[in-house]
Amino acid sequence: MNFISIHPRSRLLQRFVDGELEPATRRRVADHLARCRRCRDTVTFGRELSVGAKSLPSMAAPPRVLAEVLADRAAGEHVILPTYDASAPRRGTRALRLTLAAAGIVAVGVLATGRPNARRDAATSSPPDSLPTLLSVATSLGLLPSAAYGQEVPPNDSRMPPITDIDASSLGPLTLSYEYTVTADSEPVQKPEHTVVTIAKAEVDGAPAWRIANHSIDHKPDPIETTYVDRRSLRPLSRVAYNVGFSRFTVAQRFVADSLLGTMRTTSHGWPLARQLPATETSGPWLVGGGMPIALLRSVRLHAQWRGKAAVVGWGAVRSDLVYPVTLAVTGEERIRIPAGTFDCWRLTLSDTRRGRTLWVRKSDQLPILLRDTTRTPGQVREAVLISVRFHE
Amino acid sequence: MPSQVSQSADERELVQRVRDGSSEALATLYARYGDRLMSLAYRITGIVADAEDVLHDVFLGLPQALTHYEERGQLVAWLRRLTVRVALTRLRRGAREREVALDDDSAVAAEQSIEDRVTLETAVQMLPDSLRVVFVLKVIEGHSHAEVASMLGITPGASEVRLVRAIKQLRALLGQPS
Repeated sequence: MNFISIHPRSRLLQRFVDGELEPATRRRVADHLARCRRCRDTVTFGRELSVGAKSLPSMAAPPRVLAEVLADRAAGEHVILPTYDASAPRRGTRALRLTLAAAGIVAVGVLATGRPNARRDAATSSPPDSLPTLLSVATSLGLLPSAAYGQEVPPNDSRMPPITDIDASSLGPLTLSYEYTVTADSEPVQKPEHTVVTIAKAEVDGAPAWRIANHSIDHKPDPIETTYVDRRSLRPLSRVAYNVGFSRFTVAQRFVADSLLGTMRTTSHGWPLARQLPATETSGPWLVGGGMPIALLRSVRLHAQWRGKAAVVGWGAVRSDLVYPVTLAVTGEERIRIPAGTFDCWRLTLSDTRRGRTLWVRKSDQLPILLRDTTRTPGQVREAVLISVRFHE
Repeated sequence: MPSQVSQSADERELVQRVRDGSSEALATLYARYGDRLMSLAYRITGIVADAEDVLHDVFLGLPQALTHYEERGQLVAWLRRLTVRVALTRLRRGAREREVALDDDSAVAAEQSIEDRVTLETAVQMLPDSLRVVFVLKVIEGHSHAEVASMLGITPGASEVRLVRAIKQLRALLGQPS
């Protein structure tokens, strides 16, 4: 029987090497190998490679690393490691199945629409209507709002008090990693994506500030957004975002008194930004940047009746993309299991309650550990989970 | 097997001491498994400094992470899986800096002129990240394609394709005619 008059595919030969073929197929490949030196050499190389790779020498773990570990532990630094098996089904106290660990506080630049008119004069023109808005370039996952915020504000929002009890002086620098997935019937429908949020001490014009950066690492080039806020009040001072949307805009904003000033640029064109923002006494604090809600939630004292409203600030290039009202309210207390552990949490509902957006915040340090959302596709659920956190003392 | 029972009991006690925050126990674990985990981290990240960072993070987080270790399997196997996850996270963060240089067949082709100086160790490290990780997880760590696919967020078929490409490139790097 001449099963293989042509050479077996490479994958078939590799399965032969790995012993992963059914007996009948294995026999037929073996028959071919008996007659074909070229394929025989491939299999021989594969086997020798496997043996050689398994016996590669060990590298020495430097004593210096252990010394650093012990010193960092003594200084109070710690890190949450991904101890879960992504492939294993998980049990959760709320039966939240995290098929793949998931998160992404905000992923800027995924869904940008429109390209600016290249003939416009950057210095003198008004921004065209096709410039991206915050909502058109952000995935609706994250602590920043989806379009639902702007369009489906619950009718009682105006009665909710502004968030006022902010004290960020003891916030502390930290780095968080989030992963998110979209699942349908508990099966992933796309590759997990990842966002890293870093909060670090900084100074702006000699005044103490926090530098809040969020970085979506699965898109090339990487969308990166950095916001500077007042160290104590979290009042925004400036924001720069790179690689925004399909056209890879760069947006630079400054917040001066009640105004948003700055520019939105491509490599060849730019548009000035100059908008008046609503008073925080009525709108609630301005939320600028995907990482800022994390800082906000760590800077208030959550309790069972805590609630309030805030204003997410858009890019401001077009009038309709300036402010999006949001509300946050504690709606329960739950024990949540995520791959990093089991935690007592506050459950918060965001203002798009009709879409079931829910956020769980760890009670011990008020870190957002899990976000659950739905997509516009029926049956699809987005889940975002904190996979690691490092506190920098 | 008395020696195995003894070792197992010793390891259980060691794990509990690490959970309780003993630096001495952590140092013992480091001495016992550090080399293997360092090697694994290096083979995944391809950079010694990154591997040291992975090792640092693994041992820094180990006291808390061990609270999730259920002691049903071998501790070393659990530690290796944990190290793989941390290393993959590290690799994703650093990927953007290396992919232009390495995630390209032409980069490997350019190295073929020095093939006679290439050992298996260096050849593995010369693979693009996407291929090297699959090779390490499948061939060295012994995971199935389904497990590799799950860890990397790809399909088992893609894992197979990457393995074949990795071996093909290794063969070229090592000067073996194909």
